[in-house]
Order: sequence, then C-alpha cells, then structure tokens
Amino acid sequence: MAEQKRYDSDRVVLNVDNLRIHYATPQGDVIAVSDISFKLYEGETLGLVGESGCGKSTTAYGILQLVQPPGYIVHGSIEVDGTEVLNLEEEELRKFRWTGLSLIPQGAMNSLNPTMRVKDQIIDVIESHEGKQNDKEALRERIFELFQNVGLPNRIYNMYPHELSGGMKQRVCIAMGVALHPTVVIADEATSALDVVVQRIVAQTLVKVKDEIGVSLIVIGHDMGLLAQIVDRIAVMYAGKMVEIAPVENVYANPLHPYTQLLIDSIPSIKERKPLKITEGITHDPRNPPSGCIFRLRCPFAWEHCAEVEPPPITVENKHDVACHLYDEQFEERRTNALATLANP
Amino acid sequence: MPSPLLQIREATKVYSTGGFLGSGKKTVVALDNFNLTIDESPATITTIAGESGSGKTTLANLVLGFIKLTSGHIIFDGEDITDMTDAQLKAYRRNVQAVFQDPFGVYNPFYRIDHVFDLVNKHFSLSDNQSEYRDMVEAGLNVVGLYGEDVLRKYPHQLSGGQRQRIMMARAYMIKPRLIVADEPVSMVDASLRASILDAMLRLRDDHNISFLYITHDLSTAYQIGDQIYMLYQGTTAERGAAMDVIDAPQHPYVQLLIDSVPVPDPTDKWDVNISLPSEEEMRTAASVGCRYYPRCPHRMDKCLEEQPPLFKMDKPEHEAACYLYEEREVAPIEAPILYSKPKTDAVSQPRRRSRAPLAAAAVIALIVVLAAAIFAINQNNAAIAAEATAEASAAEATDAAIAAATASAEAQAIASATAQAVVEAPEPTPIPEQEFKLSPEGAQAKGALTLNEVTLDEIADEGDLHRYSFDGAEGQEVTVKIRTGGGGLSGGNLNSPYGTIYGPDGEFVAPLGDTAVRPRRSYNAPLTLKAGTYTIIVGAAQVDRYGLVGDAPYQIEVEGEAPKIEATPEPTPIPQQDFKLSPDGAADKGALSLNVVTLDEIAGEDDRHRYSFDGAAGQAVTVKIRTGGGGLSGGNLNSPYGTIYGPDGEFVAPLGDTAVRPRRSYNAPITLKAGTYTIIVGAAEVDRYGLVGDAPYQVEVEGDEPALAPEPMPLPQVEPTPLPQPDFILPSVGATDKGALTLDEVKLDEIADAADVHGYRFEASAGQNVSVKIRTGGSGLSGGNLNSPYGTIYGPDGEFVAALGDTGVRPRRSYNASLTLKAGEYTIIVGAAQVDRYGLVGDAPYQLVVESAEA
Repeated sequence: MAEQKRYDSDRVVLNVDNLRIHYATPQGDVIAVSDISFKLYEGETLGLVGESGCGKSTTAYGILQLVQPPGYIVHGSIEVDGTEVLNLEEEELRKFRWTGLSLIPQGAMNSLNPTMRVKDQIIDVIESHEGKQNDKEALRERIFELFQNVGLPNRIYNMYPHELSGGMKQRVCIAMGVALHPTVVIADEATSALDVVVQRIVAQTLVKVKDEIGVSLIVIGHDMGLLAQIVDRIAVMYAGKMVEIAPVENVYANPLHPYTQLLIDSIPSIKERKPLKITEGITHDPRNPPSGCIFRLRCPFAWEHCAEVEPPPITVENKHDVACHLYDEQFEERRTNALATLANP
Repeated sequence: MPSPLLQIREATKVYSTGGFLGSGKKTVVALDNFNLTIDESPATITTIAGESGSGKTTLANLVLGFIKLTSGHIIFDGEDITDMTDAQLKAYRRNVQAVFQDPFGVYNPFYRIDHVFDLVNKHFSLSDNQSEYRDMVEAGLNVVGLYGEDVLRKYPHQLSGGQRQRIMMARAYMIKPRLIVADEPVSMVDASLRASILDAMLRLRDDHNISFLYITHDLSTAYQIGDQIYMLYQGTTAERGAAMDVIDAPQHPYVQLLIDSVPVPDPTDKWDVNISLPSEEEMRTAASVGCRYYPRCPHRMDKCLEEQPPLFKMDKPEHEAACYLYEEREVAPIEAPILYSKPKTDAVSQPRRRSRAPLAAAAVIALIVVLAAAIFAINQNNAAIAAEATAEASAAEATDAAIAAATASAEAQAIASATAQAVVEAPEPTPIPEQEFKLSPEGAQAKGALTLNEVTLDEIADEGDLHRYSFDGAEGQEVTVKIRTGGGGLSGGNLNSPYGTIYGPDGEFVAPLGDTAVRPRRSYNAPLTLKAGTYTIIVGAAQVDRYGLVGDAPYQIEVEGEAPKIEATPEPTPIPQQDFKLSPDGAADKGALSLNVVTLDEIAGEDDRHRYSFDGAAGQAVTVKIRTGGGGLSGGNLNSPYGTIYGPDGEFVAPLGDTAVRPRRSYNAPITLKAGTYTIIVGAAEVDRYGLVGDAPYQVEVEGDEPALAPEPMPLPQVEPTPLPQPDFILPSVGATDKGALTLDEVKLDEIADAADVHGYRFEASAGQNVSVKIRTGGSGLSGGNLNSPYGTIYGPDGEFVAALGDTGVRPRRSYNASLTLKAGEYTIIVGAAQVDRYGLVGDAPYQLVVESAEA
C-alpha cells in the first residue's frame, strides 16, 4: 500500500465561478447550467448529484471544455491551480487534459478503443503528453504500477478491451485517468452500469487511487447510497442551479434545502420498508425557468418572496452553503415552522 | 388451496457461442435446472435478482416466449406452454405482458403517446367503440396515477422516465393480463422518480390481482415491494424466500456479499473491508459440476466441487439456500408440477372476431404482416418491436385456428381430446391449512347479519377487537366473501389489512379471509360453495403483519353472490328499483336546469338532497350527466353522489349513478323524453362501497339538442344576437388590480390570492398581428396534486369580449393557450379565480402569463 499524501484541505485546486452553459434550440436556449459557483479543495472527493437533466454532467463537461454544440459556455470562470481554463488555446487545452484535468467517462465499455491493446492505449496517453518514451522497460514498469494502483493484474497488459469484464474496463479507464497525475479527476457516473459487487470494487479503487496518487476527485452520480460511501462533500444540483453544497455527514443527517430533503427521503432502503414517496420530475420548461427560486414550483415551503427574489447561497457553516430563503436570518420564524412540519408531517 | 399461475420446473437454457461450422463451439448454461412457482391468488411480486450474466433476463425471455427452453417446463395456468394450441398461445400472450428496461426505446419518437394505446387496441381488439375505448385508456392511466389529458397528446420526449414507464404499465393493464414480466423497469429512471413506478406495480397487484415477475439487480426496490425473491447466481438459485427474510438475513455466502455491497446511504456506516474478485480465468472455469460460486467463496469445501448443492430449508418458511454450509438441514423438495385440464372456452372466446367473410383474406394479410414484422424484429435492439411481431404472429395463428374451427369442428374436438390425454386431473381438494391468523369467534362483538350483496363498513380498534358477522347459506349456493381495506392513502403506503376467518353452520373452519403470507394488501376474496345453515365471519386484527402492525384500518365486508333460487314466478320488473332510488320528498329545490349548462353544487350530508327540474319535449333525446371530483390524482376515495330521475308523472325514469361499481367520477343517463317536466334528485347514496356518503362536490348537466320546433307558426323568441358565448367564468375588468403592461414574449408570474383577487394586464397590438396568449399554472407541489387553474378573459380595444383564457368545462388544467389575430389598439387581459372550479376550489395557484408572437 503506497503512502498516503498529505493535503492542505483548505487549498482550492478548482474554482468554478459563475459558470453558465446553454444549449441552443430553435425554440430558444435551454439553460443547462445557471450561474453556478463552487470550490474543490485539495485531496477532496466531491459528489455532484441531481436528477437527470439537472446539468450535473454538463457542468463536468464545461469544466473540461468538452461541451459539444449546440451547447456553449455563456460566461464564467474555471481556474485549476490558478490556471484559467477558459483562456487556454486548443493546443494548450489538449495538453492540460490528462495533466491538469482528466475524465473517467460514463460507460467505460464504449470509451476504450476496441482495436488497441490495453497497453497501447495507456502508452498513447503518456506519449502524447510526455513525448516518445525510449526506455520501454521503465514505461512498462510504470504501467504495471498503475495496474497495481487500480487492482488490475499485469496479464491484461497485452489484452484487448473485449477480453476484459466491465469492472476491469472501468478500472483501465481509471488507470488512464490518473496516469499523468492530474490535479482534478472527474468521474462521470463511473460505476452506474455495474453490478453491486463490481460497483463496490470500482468505487473503492477510485478512492484508494485518489489517496495514493493525491488527486482531487469529482464524482457525478445519482446513487445517493454509493456517494455516502465515498465522498467528502456533496453538491446538489436542481435544474441547472446548485442548491446546496455540504459535507457529506450534514447532507444525510441534516439536509437543509427542501430539494435535498426530498432527495434524501427518496433513497430506497434495504433496512426498513417505508411508504413510497412519490414525486414527479422537473416540471418547468427549461427554456423558461420560473422567476425567483428554481425549486419553488415543487417546494412545500415556498411563499411569495421565493417568486420575487432568487435565493443567494447562504453559508451556514464552513464549506456548507445552501441557496434557500428559509436560511436567511430574517425568515427565521418561517424556517422554524417549516422544520416543525417536517418533524410532524 | 392456492392454485399455481406460473410453474417453472427444471428449466435449463443452453446457448451455443463461438466456433465456426461447429468447430470449437462453446456452450454457456444461462439457466440451470431452475424451479419457480407463482400462485394465482393472491397476486404477488416475485423478484428475480442477480448480477449480469446470472440468467435473469434469459428467464424473462423464456417466460415471454421469445426464446425456447433447452429442457424443462414452463407451465402457465396448468398448461405447459410448449404444448399449447394456437388459441391457447394467443390467450397466453394476452395473459402475460411485458414492461422493459428502457422507457424511451419502446416508444416511437414520432408518434404521440396515444399511439401506444391505439396499437394495443389494434392488436388485441379491446373495443370497437371509441368512447368505450377512451374510457379504457383513461381507466388504465388512472390506475398508474396519470391522466389522459396530461399525457396522451404529448410526445415521448416530453414525459419523464417515470411517466413513460407508468404508461407502459397502463398499456399492459389494459390487456388485463394475469402476469407482468417487468425487466429492470426502474433501472433507467432517476431514483427520485422510481417510487411512482413501484406504486403503480403495487396498485396493479393489490387492486387488480396482477402478479409480477420483477427482474432487477436493485435489491432496495425488491425489498420495498417484493413478496418473494429468487437470488440467481450463474443460472442457479443461490437463495430464495420472502424478500424481507432473505435481505434481512441472507444465508448463502454470495448473497451475503451482495447485500453487504449494497451501499448504505449513511456516511457514518461505511464499507469496512475492501473486497476483490478472483481472476477472470478462475471465474470462467467455474466448474459445470459442483457449486458455481466455488472460486469466489470464502467458505468453500471439497464437497462443493462434487455436486451442485440443492436448496436446503432455512428457519423461516419458504426460505431456502443452496449451500453445503447447511448440509445437515432438510433438502427443500421440488414440488411436482400441477397440470390440469380446463375448459378451453376462455382461450377460444378471447379474440373478438369480426365477420367471417374476410377471414381468409385477413389471414393472408396477417401472414404478410408477420413476415414483415419478423424481418423488422431482426433488429434485436428493440425488444418491443419483437413483442409486437409476436403479437401479430399470434393474431395470424388465431385467425388460422378460427378458420379451422369454422370448417371442421370435428377436428377441433379431436384436438381437444388429444390435449385432454396429456394432462392429469384437476388438483385434488386439499384441506385448507389452519393459518396462524385463524380468529376465534369467542369474545367477538356481534355485528349482526350481513345481507347478500350489501357492503358493511367497520373498523378494528385494536389488537383485541374482534367483530362477528353472520349470513345464511342455502345448499349449493355460491358466494364470494370479500374484505377490503383502504389503507394509508395515495402512495400505497402502509396498509394494515384486517383479517378474518369464516366458520360454517357447524362451527367448522371454512376459509381464511386474508393472507398473512404476503405484504398487507387492500383486498381479499374468498369464494365459497355453501351448505344450508348460518355462517359466521370473524374479523379482527391479524396477530401482527409484516410491518409489525395490527390491521386497524377501516374495512368493508361483503357477501357477494346470487340469492338462492326460490321457486316463485319472476315478477316482470322493467326497471329495477335500485336501492339508491332517492325520494323527491324533502329535497331542497335547486331550480330548473338549462340545456347544456353545467350546474355545480355539493352534498353536505347523508340527508341533504337536491331537486332539479328540466322540461322535456316529446321525443327529445338528452343525456343527463353527473360528475364528481373526489380526492385527486390517485383515484383515491371518491364519494360519488347519486341521483334519480323522475318523469312528468312522478314515475321513476332512470338512476343517475351506479352503486354496483366502485365509486366513479361520472355517470351518464341517456333518456328519450316525453313532453313535461322532469325532476332530478341528487343526494348521497345511502352508502358507497367504502361506507362513505357521496358528499363530494358534483356537477349536473342535461346535455342534448333543443327540441325540434313544432311546425305550427309560433312567435320566435327574441334571440339577441350574441356573436360570442359569454362563458360563466368571464371576468369583468372593473376592480382588477392593474399589473401593468405586458411586453411581447415576456413571461409574467403572479399568484391569485383568493376569489376576489383579480389581476389586469394590458398590451398593445397592431392590426393583423398574430399572437398566442398563454396561461400556465404549477399546481400545489410535488405530486401534481390539486391544480387550481387560474382563469382569464381577454378584452379588445373597445372593451369587447375577445376570448376566454381557460376552460371550466374540463378538469383543472395546467395550461391554456388562446390564439388571436388582433386589431390595432390596447387589449386587456383579466386573470382571476374562476368562480369555482370542478372541485369547488378557486384558482389560487401561482400562474405564468405570456403574450407570444405567433405565425399567421
């Protein structure tokens, strides 16, 4: 087991500020990501959750500068270790991917080249950034070390992707993602197509590699159970907005935003049978979001103020922000009543 | 004794892969000697769980008939599906429906949702009558918590995954199957939307007696709704039992690992050990003899390599695990399959045949369609197309069978007798097991005698509360004793079922009324053949249900059946005097109804009766309609008001409502009138099935054409020229709060506070300009619950009425668009609460208003 790195958990490695991404459609722009800001600290694992269409994957692809047309970044700033990603030229950006930022994509089965051996795909990543490697022996040792990091046997070195199981392919992707020791790794639903046992192995691999290599990690997913197991903080998105970002323990024990509460409430359990909590999805037209708070059409506590003023993020404690008027000091009474309703529904 | 619906015995499916021209061919055993039984009644949800490659989808495809078994039997309703005749197969395909994983892939993106239902109607000939068919679609959607108005005219991409999947459930429900094979129905739907699908499954199970074969790798949903579970590992059952027993206390080492790996949504309870898998080679060489889990098993023994372990009985009933760790325990026996001959009538009568003449042509066309569809189905990506092709194929087969039957009925008889040879006699009557919840009549509170076909409502107060009912039986009389409970509302949440026991005239145990073996359920029916004497029914709380709760919900009990035949001359009763015939005496006079105008009122209590009148002309055809709202989306408690229509001479003409069915939202009475004044009495039916009086708001309307004017010269009534009808929800612009000017395409958001709150908007128009004025409302929150639609009125530059913005004629709706061609000047839009909507609520939800530019 490699030695764990020491982190400065207050050092910001990724600073996303006021990022806005639209998808152009003939009927007007769909607001996929709406002015979101957050920070990722060194050595941290951040979970990004929300229902489909909430903009979590778009956020990740925005950070990586991989938004495909008709999507486009309207404005914002993305700083990785002080480098403004949005200012990078195409060639610089290509270098920056894998070294500064890397992606472990959704559905690993489809992201590996089926005609290349595993070793060649990893060598390709290394050589495209570090130039031709003449010491073949050292290169092989380096790949074996990567295999060891992600718990893969050396014998897959010469194999083709189709010879590997889904869990192994996903681990090859993790190995490629961390091969150049990037600052930030983004795992987009990296485990959601896998069976529970394999999912557990891959998730544990991800965390172990993160600790050994010393990267910061963003995990995108909708499995709240899995995120509880592996992340340090959770950012909750709803319809393009970030509604809450909080240390994982707070999110599960004491969710503040009404949407986070709904999310936590609807986690299926294998410990007790509960009445089913039925909800519908996002109900508004994404081209035409409601005024004020994005969640107010579904919120059980919304009042006039929510339609008039968009709630700004309120810092309730260190590294815990929530965008809900209930946590504004001037509405304390309303908050008390709301929490009372929650306690006695 | 429950009869089995689906029995799978020693089912094995072997796939051959790889190799060229038979050289180096490898075989994969996808399902190995698999056994399963699903009982007919009560309906259950049987979960098949396991990792990918465990054989669960193979099992689903086998049951659906997409692929054939290598060996073994699949027996549905006592008939081996490989031995079924064409007509039986056709019936089988109606009885076994599928819901697939991808809720998008099964829809054609170019068609609106109603196309899905049209296809079903076409394939299964559900109804030729359009309005009957529409009612069926609406009923199907209501069962899964949807409304036709909200979804039918939409395209698939406009619906959420949860809605799409529930529509597939509604589609399956319309065919009235007895089993639905649901292959990963929730895995592609967001976690927060899964509950709605699971709820639809529970409703189909409890209210419509449809069983499920629920294929999933998601153990948490199986835990929430599953009755039995089969945990598969590489084509064999590793463990089976009640879902809660297996998941709470797994016994097989593989199942233990699986359950331990389900991530716990609690950051303070993290996985404590890292696990690893053995190498691929080891996994693949997993011996064809011995335990399949051997290479991964932490407890493996030499014995495990000798022979595949059988299922051993665990402590809990029906709980079995296939592992030699439990070698000293009893081996669970594999029950011999029950095959029995049934009259084939339902299979033959199922297809509603059209006229005989075009049969041959239809068969030829159907065959062509089958060929085309089969070619199309080669695209294996779309299982639904394959399913449709199968359905088409069966249609053709049925047509063939029909021709054969018509031309040579002797041959048909020969087939029938040949089938009869192959089967065993019907299952012998087994003594009814004395269930643990048998309730003693001692100490029960006497609740009197039950009248045949009359519903009695009561409530169990606590564990010690027992109720005793009696009813008289005649020799050979057939009745069904029904018990029904409401439970916890919309979500199919915690239902505390009351249970009962039926005792015979000599105090003997006759039948249980309820079933503790399954999850608390909403209803239970006990069909009985009586002997002469007085029967006793004891209803009480089952000792404890699966949730540890006693059945303390309100319940209904009914003895349904035909009265014993008494030899007497049948009196000619042209119109049955229904028990809900309401007397006009003492009714509050509510005045005259105008033709085609909806009147809204509300019944306050059991004694509150309303009297309406309307004038009929000789031969005039009208339809008297009553309609009620009830408690929202789920088809929850509906308290139907009922009525009676009396003719000009005080004679009973028609009932307005029907107590024989579940409380319903609407009832239409079509009448041909004679000249004179008719009277309608509306009131609460004495009691509905739920024991509730119909105290909901209701609407009543006499719909029809004006009577044709008599030819004799008559002074024409001075009809004022009203170019536009002034609907009742027209809102005056006087007194409205000025909300300012609207800019084109800018969305305004506001909220109506109460019935007196009226908002006024203005916008400038140029001559010939085309716009679309749109109003939209959100409704009160998450569930799409009560929607209070705001209504509006658009006035022109000269203060004239231009258009209504909203429609009180339909159910409160989320949006309304008015397309207008304008003239130059300033238009006014008034938005306010319609006086009252169908639910008696004012439209006080937040609304959005926009004037959108539109193409001419």
